[in-house]
Amino acid sequence: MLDGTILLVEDNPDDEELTLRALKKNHITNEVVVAHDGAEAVDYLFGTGAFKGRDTSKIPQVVLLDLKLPKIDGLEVLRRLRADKRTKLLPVVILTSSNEERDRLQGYDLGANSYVRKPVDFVQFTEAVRQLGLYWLLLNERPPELRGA
Amino acid sequence: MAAHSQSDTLLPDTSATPKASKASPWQALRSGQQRLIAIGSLLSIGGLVLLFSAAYRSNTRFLEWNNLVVHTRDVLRTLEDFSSAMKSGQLAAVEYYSNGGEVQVQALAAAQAAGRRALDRVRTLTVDNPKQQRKLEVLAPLADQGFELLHRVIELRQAGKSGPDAMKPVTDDARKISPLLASALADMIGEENRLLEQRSAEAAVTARRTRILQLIGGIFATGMVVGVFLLFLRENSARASAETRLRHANAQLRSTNRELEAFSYSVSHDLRAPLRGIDGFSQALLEDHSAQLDEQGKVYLQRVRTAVQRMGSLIDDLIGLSRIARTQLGREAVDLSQLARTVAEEVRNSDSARTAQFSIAPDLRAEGDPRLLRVVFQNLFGNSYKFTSKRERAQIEFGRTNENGKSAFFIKDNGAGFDPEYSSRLFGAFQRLHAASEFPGTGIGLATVQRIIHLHGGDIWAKGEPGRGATFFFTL
Repeated sequence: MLDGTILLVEDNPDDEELTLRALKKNHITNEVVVAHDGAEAVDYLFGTGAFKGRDTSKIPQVVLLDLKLPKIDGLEVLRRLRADKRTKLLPVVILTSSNEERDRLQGYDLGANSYVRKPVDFVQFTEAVRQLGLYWLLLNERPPELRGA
Repeated sequence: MAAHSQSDTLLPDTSATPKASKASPWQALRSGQQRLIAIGSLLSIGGLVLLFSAAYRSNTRFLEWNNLVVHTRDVLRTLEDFSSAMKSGQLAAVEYYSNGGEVQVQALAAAQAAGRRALDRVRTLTVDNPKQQRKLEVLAPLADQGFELLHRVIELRQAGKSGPDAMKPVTDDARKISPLLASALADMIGEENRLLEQRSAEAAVTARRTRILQLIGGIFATGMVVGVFLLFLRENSARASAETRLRHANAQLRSTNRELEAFSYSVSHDLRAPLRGIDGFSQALLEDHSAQLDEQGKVYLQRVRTAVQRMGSLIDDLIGLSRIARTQLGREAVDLSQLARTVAEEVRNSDSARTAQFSIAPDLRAEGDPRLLRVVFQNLFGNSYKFTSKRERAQIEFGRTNENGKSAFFIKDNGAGFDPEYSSRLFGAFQRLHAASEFPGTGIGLATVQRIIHLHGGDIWAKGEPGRGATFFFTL
């Protein structure tokens, strides 16, 4: 069941703060869960580790995934999400500094739904978050399986 | 200094990109050792040819002498034939004189004929030897006289005359002729024997010389084959070790390239993150705390943001530049005129408020990487467009021309131009010849263009005057 939360996977506290600020400025009021590394993100989604016992039937509306992460990197997180049938169709937006073609290719190859490069200019960043929110939280029609209950 | 060394690591100098050299085999022989081998080979082959031709000539001479020996033996045998014909004639005459019998008359005639034939043959055989011919002129009449005497013996018996008195004139004549005939014959045989000895000696000498020459030639040729084989072995091992070194260097280069990639990856990722922080929180200050800031404070914050964003584009351009250094160059036929028109359109659309006249020569083509050549046009047209922004009628031209005797493409504008004194610094990374307030930019565009041109094995240079526009020439 979708609970309308946004899972933000971000290790940089500045980026975390700025992303939250950008969401707020765009009046996106959905609950935001922050995972500070790849392992935490995987634990949250699959109810393991620190999140043992979490109701995993509640899955986020969208995952905003950084690529360069401690412990398990973003692409590996994506690979694990796509390998599990509970999160196979979960919308994942790669939100990263990297503009390497290789990362983009691999990201899409592993089943990312979007690839957004974080601009340096905060005004542009806010605009990018606005569009992301608009698209993934409002406009996008979810696959039937995820609409679930 | 730090920034400089960093850019060194980030941007390996590709200006030394080896251009495909078309060395002729003769140029390849420039290295001393190879030249030595070439000269040695030529000398060896020359020596071998000389040796074999000497052996061949010596052998021919041996065969000639050998033929002469055979010839001389032939002459000697024929002279013996004559001698025995003479003897059987004598025998037949004496027998007839004692006992009669027609058989003996026929035998004498046959002996005479054989003697004549033998002398005729000697004449033919010694036709090239005037000395023997002269001796033959002596022998032949004596032989005739000898046979005539024998006929006279037979006639005596036929006439029924016998006894010492009847024989006396014949015996007297025989006593005169016989020694002459014997000595003439001995003379000829002696001469032929002398020739035989001389010719046999010559034949033996030439035979030995031929054998020695053939032996030397054989040894020489074997030596050459062994030498070539050894050279081949050495070359082979030299090549093998060169290949090993090349593989090693290649592996090193690949690993350096991987490191470089990792480096630029982390530059692009990690350097931008703090910039985002600075920009974002400056903006947050402006938005949330502007009440606590006076106007000057707000201006300063705005300048912080401008500086940070400039740093962001510097990083992006640097990454782009280093990416070009790592690019695998693709080569195909590119319609430069078409590419120029497309890029000109993009450039024009980037600022619709301006008007600029692009004139692009048709049907210019070149071999190259279309993606990278597009970057070249984007930068050069972009520059021209930027530096003509203060002109009322901006004119930008692309075409082909002859510069210093070589055909080059050019992009020309009537913009701000530059001081030719600094033209050598145009293509350095971070080099700018105009103040940022006058014309914006990161100073990496032309460095990128130069890198691409060098990757193609081409050259790029520029001409300009302050206030009178700039022209960039390039070859591919």
